[in-house]
Amino acid sequence: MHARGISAIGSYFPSIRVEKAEIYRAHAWALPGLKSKSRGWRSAARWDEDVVTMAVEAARNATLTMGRERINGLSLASTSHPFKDRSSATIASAALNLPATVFTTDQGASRRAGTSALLKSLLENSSRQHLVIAAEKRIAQAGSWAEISWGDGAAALVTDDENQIAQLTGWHSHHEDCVDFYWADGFKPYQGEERLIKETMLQSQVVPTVQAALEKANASPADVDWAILCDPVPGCEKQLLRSLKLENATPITQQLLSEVGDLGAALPLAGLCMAIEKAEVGDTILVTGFGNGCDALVFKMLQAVDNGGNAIESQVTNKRSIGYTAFATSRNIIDLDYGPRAERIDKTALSVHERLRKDITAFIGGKTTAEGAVQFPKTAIAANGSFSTETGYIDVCLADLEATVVSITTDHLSYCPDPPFYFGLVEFENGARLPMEFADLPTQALAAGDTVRMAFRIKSIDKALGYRHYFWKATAVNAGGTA
Amino acid sequence: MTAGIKDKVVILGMGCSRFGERWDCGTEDLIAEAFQEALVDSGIQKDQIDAAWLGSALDDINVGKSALPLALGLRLPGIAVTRVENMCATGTESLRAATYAVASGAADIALAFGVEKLKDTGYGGLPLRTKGLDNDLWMPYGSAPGNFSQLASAYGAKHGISMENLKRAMAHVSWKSHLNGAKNAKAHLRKVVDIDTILNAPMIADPLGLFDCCGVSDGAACAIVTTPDIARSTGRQDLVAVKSIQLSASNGWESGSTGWDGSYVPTTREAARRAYLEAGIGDPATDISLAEVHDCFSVTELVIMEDLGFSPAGKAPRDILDGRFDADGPLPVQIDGGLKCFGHPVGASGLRMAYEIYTQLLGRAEDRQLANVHTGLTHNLGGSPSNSVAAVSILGLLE
Repeated sequence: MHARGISAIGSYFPSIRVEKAEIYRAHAWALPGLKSKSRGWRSAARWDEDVVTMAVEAARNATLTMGRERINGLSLASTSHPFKDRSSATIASAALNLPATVFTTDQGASRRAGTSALLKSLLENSSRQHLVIAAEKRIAQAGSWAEISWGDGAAALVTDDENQIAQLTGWHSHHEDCVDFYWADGFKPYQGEERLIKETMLQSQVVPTVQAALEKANASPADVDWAILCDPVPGCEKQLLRSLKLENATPITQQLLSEVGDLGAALPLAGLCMAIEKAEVGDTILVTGFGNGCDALVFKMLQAVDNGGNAIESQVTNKRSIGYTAFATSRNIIDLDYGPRAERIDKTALSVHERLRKDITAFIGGKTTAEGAVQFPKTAIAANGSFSTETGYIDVCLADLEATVVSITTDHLSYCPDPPFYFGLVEFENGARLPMEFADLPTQALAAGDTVRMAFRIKSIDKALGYRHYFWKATAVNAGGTA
Repeated sequence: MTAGIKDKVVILGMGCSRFGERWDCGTEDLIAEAFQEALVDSGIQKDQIDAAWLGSALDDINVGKSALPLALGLRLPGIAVTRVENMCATGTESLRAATYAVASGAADIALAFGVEKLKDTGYGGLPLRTKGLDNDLWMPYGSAPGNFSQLASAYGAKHGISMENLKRAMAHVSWKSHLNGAKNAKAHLRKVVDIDTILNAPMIADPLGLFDCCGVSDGAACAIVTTPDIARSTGRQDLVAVKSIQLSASNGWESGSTGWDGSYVPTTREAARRAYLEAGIGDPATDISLAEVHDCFSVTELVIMEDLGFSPAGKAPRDILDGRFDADGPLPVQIDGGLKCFGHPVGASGLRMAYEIYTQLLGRAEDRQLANVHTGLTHNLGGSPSNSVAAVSILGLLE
């Protein structure tokens, strides 16, 4: 058994961004103090994206070339899981078409959950791959520091005992019921005074934790080439660089904060992915997670990442701007009156979900003969007329295949939280054809004949009962970025 | 092919309510309005009706389920009453059921009814509805204009017609219906609209603008059918006979496999093929005097002209712009204003189409009466182009 390390990385950042100055301008009449936080952008997941969908996309990006056959664990860390009791990790595992024997766990309750999940996976005695994902879509009150500072996104890393690109060389973890920030159920997020956090809490927890981790890694502060440091309030990263004497380290956190915002539990892992993408063989990477204590992990780069060198970086910087009203409406901060067509209640019958969940969540069609055309959904009497009870179906997963737009329309009549509503007919090379919704339009205009890929999204949300139902949507091949 | 029902059933009487935003009426009022006209027209008594069919498509905001709304509404004397539903083809489905009952000998006189009270939804367009709980897990919630708009790009691509030219032909379709509807006292929309207004209207589902779409209406229509012998025994001279009623339903081929290019509606072609065979129509472009087709959207009517064989492949835009289907053209289509302007109370529309053909065949159409009418066609389409139910009926004077 070898020491475990990281063998693949991937991220997902929604291309939709809101300029922080736009948020400030919306509230300036009442909250002029927000101006100090109004530089840069924040990412904004669309209405049909949440922790689960972004986690799935990040994991797909991480496993694009390596396949998922050796994965036997999936952890999903977040402080904004969509359900209190319905496992995000399990939905993600199903969407990734992983076997039901894959061990799924959800971490949360602290922004440190991302690094804790990664550390736990790296310390396990396993010869198999684990997917460690962190994702956030935190919705904060209008005008709050959180609304302007936070961002949405996900990062995924595969841990393994072979084919490592970065190996864990040292770590230290320190827990403390130190409350710089809390978020009680049913209440708004609340943060302590900035100087208390920067000058007292971080110094007392992060500095000794990092020092201990570096010592275990037999590394000096000057050996650190890349640093992902906590920055819960402005100036922390800079101060930690000084306090820790990380004189040769390139800090990563500020770029993320200014391009996509504070990603909560996903920030350290997103920063780690960015650092790994940029690092050279032999480089030392320090990553920290802060929240009711601190995790510090030290990695040594063993081989460079082969993803074109800037896949994650381009996701971070690729942006399409929207205004504050559209942003606030997409997360129900503004309760827009969409008119009576929005009164429809999309109630999912749990029995129907139980019957169809595997094919729906993993997007699995089928064919009754090896040479036959694929169809979705599978039906008792197949498209070729045969009784599937006699022939059975050969499963074909459509999620990772590209398809062609047969027809598409821009529907201004149907209710959609992000109007207009785009849908049409999509056809796969294997013969499967079905009507589908399109995601991320009009960012990437589509027409008949264009190639699309599949994206895991929320299909509908039951406004009365809160249930959300997931399915796949077609999107332009370069929408949302691939890393 | 079986011997079919040609000339085995005749229409004894028909009625049709005024269509529109009938805020003043409940469903029972609409039913009574249409029935009273039909009963007077037929010359029979209500208790002579042996069986009845009620067509209503959208029960949730309409009259509710079952046939009881018709039985109760008309105080029918305990006869068999059955509700039928087949999306927007419901009206023709109702007529088909009553006609088959008479043709089979199971009933001497049967009543076909269609009614819809849509304006109580409180918004425009068709009501929101489920596609079935299984399908709702994956199918898009697209609107009807969204579904039909996709015909336009596929048709244009197949025949090399620019969207600008296609839009012009589509605008002519709507312009014609408004012109015709203005002459119809029972029509929902009775205002003439010019081509530029149509072309510059707000977009509903690209490329369908507001005037490319029919609205939804409140309304009812019905037919009393019987055998030719019974009809003659009442002293009626001119009798309108059912030459054919055929129906075709999608089996998933269009939306589930790669054969369909999206530029036409296969069920329309199949229903028409069978109807022409049953009625003995050789060349529909010349054998049919007039047609009432399912012009839910302008592009639908354009495509239907080819699906029914009225225009050669790729030539419907040319024929439309040449006025071939105008009121003074060789094959008038939607002389009553069609779904576009007469209105579209879903369950009633198929019977409304038959009502216009019946009226024209008997020379009762007043301002909009056409000359030399001998054979009329109705085409009633439910669903979307990729998953549809098409019904084609042919009516003509009994020889």
